Amino acid sequence: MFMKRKLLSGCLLLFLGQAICFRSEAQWQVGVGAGINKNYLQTDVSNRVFAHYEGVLGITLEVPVQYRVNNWFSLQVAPAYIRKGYKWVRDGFYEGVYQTNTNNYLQLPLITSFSVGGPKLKGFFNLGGYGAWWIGGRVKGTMPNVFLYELPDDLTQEFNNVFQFDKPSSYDEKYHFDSRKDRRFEWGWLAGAGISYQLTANYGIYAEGRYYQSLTDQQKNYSLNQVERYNQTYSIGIGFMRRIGK
Amino acid sequence: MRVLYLLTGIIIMASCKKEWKGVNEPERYVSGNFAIEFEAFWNGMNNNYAFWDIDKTNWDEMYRKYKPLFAQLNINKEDDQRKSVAYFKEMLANISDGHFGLGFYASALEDSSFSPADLRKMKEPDHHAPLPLQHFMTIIPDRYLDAGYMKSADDELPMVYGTIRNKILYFRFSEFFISFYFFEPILPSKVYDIATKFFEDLKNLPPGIKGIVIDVRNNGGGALVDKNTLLSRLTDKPVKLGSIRYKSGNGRLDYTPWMDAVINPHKDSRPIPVPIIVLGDAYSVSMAELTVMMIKSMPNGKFVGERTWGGHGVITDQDNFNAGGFNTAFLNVYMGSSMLRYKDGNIYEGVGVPPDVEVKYDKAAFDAGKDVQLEKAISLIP
Repeated sequence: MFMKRKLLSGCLLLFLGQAICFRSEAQWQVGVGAGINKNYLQTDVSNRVFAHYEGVLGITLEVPVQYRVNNWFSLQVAPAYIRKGYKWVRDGFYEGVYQTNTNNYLQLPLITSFSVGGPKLKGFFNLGGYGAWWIGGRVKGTMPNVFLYELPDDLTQEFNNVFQFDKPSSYDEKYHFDSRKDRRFEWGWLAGAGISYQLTANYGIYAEGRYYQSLTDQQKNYSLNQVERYNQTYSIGIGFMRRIGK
Repeated sequence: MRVLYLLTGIIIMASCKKEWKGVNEPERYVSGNFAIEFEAFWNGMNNNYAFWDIDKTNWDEMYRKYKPLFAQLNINKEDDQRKSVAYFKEMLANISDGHFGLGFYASALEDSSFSPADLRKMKEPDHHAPLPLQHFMTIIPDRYLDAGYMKSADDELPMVYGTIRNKILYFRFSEFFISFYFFEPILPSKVYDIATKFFEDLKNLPPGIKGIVIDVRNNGGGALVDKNTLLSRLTDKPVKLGSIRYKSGNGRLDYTPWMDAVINPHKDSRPIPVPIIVLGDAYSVSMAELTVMMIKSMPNGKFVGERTWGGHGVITDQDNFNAGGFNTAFLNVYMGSSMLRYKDGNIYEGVGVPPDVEVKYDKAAFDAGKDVQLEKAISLIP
């Protein structure tokens, strides 16, 4: 891991060096963007039968601020609100049992952007990292509740679902943080690709697909042999950019 | 060249992915030695125990301390097997789950199963033996019940029902398995007759009845379905006795939100306009404690006796609620799958439900045939 970080740092420094040498058309841009994402919880539940995690759709709202160093390289920060979720789902006999966690973050990506193309239409590739603060969330689900346990009148009937015995209880409420467990700060790396089109001298639009990989466990390290959890987010979005200054 | 650097950077970032060991079910470990058996047990508890949120046991410290100790034992030697039981007792000494029990498969350990709660309670200053069955089936009927009381047969669930001073209904049973006598086809039994009579009297209180006493002392609990057969008949309105939650994942602190723990009324229920007193003691466990909590929660209910045992988790397979008992090649773990919080906001798991009116066990009185707890309950009914 340490060697990988050294190589990565080396690559980034070489990029920046080349970019600075080729400075021309340096300018600032600011914009707004919005998109949808699908987040997955990367974890291990292989010890749980008839259970798995599914991805959940979320949204992203961002304010990109870009410094274009030259016509192929830019640096960008994009403060954003992002909603990332995941869903615990049971199947088979436990079909209908689930819990969805939707979590809200304030996120700050730092991006190096490489573009190719002409003066109007460009393709670009983004690479960078991000930090995010988990500001809140919601938990919604349905579980069998033993207090609603009932034996069916006809005991000769076949049973194929847990809710035939333990009737469901549903909940939908704000997520309450547990300071012993919840790691509120997340950081990770990102990569993206997209196209931009310069509508006028000052305004342009873009569309981008982006991937975020968390490198921090969603939980604090509060127990030995803990099963880790990481967010993996795939997003697509569009936005507008405006040139500032000359 | 720039593209090459870019691709290199992408590849390096893509490989910055943490790798971790998988999670194995405790049943899947091949326990050829105590080192592996310890891992199976410790991890099984780590992922399936429902009470880490309230438990005082430092489970990580148990790992650090006992992993090397178990590694020194030979799982095929009987002396080492017995030593392992001593280690397990130390590790589990403060475990909160009142239901928790550990049993062993080795023939040398067939009498070594234990309950940490039991071992703890034996050291308490006011620890006493449970009231014997004879007290409920003979002494109480002879000394306190009016003539004409009903009693189950010797080969049935022990049950007694009658009146006291012609103004109190008294109902006593030793376990919560009443429902099984009502499953089709219904076989003739005194338990069925007694329970049916009691249910009828709850629905239509006999003239002159001023109160009801339900005796769940020395009652180890039983089937949850008795909630519907018996408890639901004690009320004509839903009774919320607290909240329940389950594990929602492998993490020790992964819990669902709290959900209502409500006893709904039976379809035949009628309002019961007289006080209902529940008698409980240190050997009232599980469904008996649920009964205590329910009656305590009712406006016309009261709990007389001693603090109960403290075993409130539902017992079911770990597959249902991400928590609960499991087996390894060497042992089996019996434990709860849920956590119950009483309506006063307290979790009484491992602690026991406190009485509204405390009447301590009095050995001398009981030996003389005087039931001070029952007499207190009687005194509370006008």
